[in-house]
Amino acid sequence: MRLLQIASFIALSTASFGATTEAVMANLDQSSGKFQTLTANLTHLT
Amino acid sequence: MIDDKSTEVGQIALKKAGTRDLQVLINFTKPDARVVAFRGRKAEIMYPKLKTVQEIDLGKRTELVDQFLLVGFGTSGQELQSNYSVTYGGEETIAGQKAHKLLLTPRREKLQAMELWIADAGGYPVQQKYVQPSGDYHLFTYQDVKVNPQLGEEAFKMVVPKGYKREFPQK
Repeated sequence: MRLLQIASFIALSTASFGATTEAVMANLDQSSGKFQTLTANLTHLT
Repeated sequence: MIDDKSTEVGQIALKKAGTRDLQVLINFTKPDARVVAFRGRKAEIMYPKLKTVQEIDLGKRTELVDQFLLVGFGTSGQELQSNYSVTYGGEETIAGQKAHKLLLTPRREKLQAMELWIADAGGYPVQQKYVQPSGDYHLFTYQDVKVNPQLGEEAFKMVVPKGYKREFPQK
């Protein structure tokens, strides 16, 4: 029973992460078309 | 791995006119002043302390240029996924912003594995981490990001004072 719960949790987490990745990709698709210029403060750590 | 960490801070201005036309000017202010201008396959680095400008032909390091173009700002999800296998790394707060971490595994040999944090609001990177095979890495964090401000050509022009010498380290 516990194994089943763990398996369900993993399946749900994976599905959720997959959905989130797709949402981030969709967000990038949308913003990339409009992108022209950018300014920002930058920190470079090596 | 060399345990020699350093941090530099400055400002970046970036313009992307097409897939392969990118102009960048980075003005590092601390700890040492240094200006880096980048356009196409050419980079110039100005060292005010040394009164020197170095010119570098990036044509010989095209894979790095391509990576910068492909994973930098203005990259679509489709472009990203055609070059990298993308894994979601969870939600994090970067420089006070909610961001989604992506783990990128290159599909082509010449590209490097990297981590990318995309702002939840805006869809642009707030942090990029390039990890070298040795374990050394470069971590770039962007704050006070302004997307699509009006920028003239002067925003990308390196102003070299008189008397500076020019070096070509590759020659």
